[in-house]
Amino acid sequence: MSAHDEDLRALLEDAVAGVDPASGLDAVRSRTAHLPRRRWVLPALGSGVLVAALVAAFFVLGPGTASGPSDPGQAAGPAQSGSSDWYMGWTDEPDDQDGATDDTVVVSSPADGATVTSPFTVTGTAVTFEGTVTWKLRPVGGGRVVDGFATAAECCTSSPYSFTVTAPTGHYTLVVSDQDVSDGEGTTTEVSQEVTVR
Amino acid sequence: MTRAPEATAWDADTAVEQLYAVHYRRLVRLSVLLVRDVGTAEEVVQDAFVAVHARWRRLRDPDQALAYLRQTVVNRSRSVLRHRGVRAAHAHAEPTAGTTRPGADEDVIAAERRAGVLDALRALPTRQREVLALRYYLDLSEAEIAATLGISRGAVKTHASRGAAALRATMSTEEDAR
Repeated sequence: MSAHDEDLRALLEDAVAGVDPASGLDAVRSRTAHLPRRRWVLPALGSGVLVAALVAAFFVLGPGTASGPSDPGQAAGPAQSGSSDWYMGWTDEPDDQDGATDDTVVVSSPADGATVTSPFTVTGTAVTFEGTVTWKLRPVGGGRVVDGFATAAECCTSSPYSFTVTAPTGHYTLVVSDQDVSDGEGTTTEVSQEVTVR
Repeated sequence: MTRAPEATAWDADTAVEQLYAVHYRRLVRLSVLLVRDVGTAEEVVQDAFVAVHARWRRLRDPDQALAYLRQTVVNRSRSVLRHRGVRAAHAHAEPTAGTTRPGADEDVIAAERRAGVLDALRALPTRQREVLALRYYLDLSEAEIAATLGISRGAVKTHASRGAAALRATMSTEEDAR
């Protein structure tokens, strides 16, 4: 920036220098609370139950009865229950880094490979800027592409959307994508699935 | 921006909290330059952080996340102006609520000067206002502004030149009037 521009820099800096925004972190936390977070909580809780059950078994029934979940008996109940809770809790959470649980566009209906009659309704959830979801219905093997857009109920957080498609009989690829504000690579989600119209 | 050593290992919660701690205030101020209203600007920036949280696994990189935040704040500010009629709603509002401390002459003069700048920005075409805010408040390069706004570098130069000239002319007129 040239020295000639310093006057504008100072002007704009001064114009908002007195702006002291209220903290919105709690609001952001609240709005993102439904997303998968703090994955250690459920495993830790399950592990705690398991350890408590084993300790209880040790003191109540003696050292020989708490050797593991394969041992039958009174103490094995809670131990297995704790272990089961842990297992179920863990599998409810994402366990890899493939992004499966935070897809910004999800198509709930119709299912991939479904056969539908025209017109049919597509429903799902999307996290999109301004809630805008774009879609295309592309005939397999070529032909006229039908496209359009839908608006999710709410911006920037997972929100339901739906749109109705009218198309002649045929086999199609349905592509639903978000409208990303970023030009960055890999930040646009595109869901593609097959659908047959009868 | 200096990248934290473990930044790429952040989960979405950590990323948002770290980015929030460093950039929230400046992004709100950027949005105030665009929409003029502090409360609206706070909502805009909160929306942007929610969006980053949802996309963190794809963004991963704090630098890319910051670029995404800036872009979302600018686009969302523009959208708010367009859809909610903030211009009209605040056309007669007091300047920058919460920033003035009436009483001392210096404070009153400073508040008037700030209000004058915000009014002058508001009077500019949207692109000129956005380019000026990104260039002179965030100190972004032409390339960064072009990427943020999705326009060419030539267009950035044009908007910057015209916007700067218009802003200087308005402020000069206001100075003469005092």
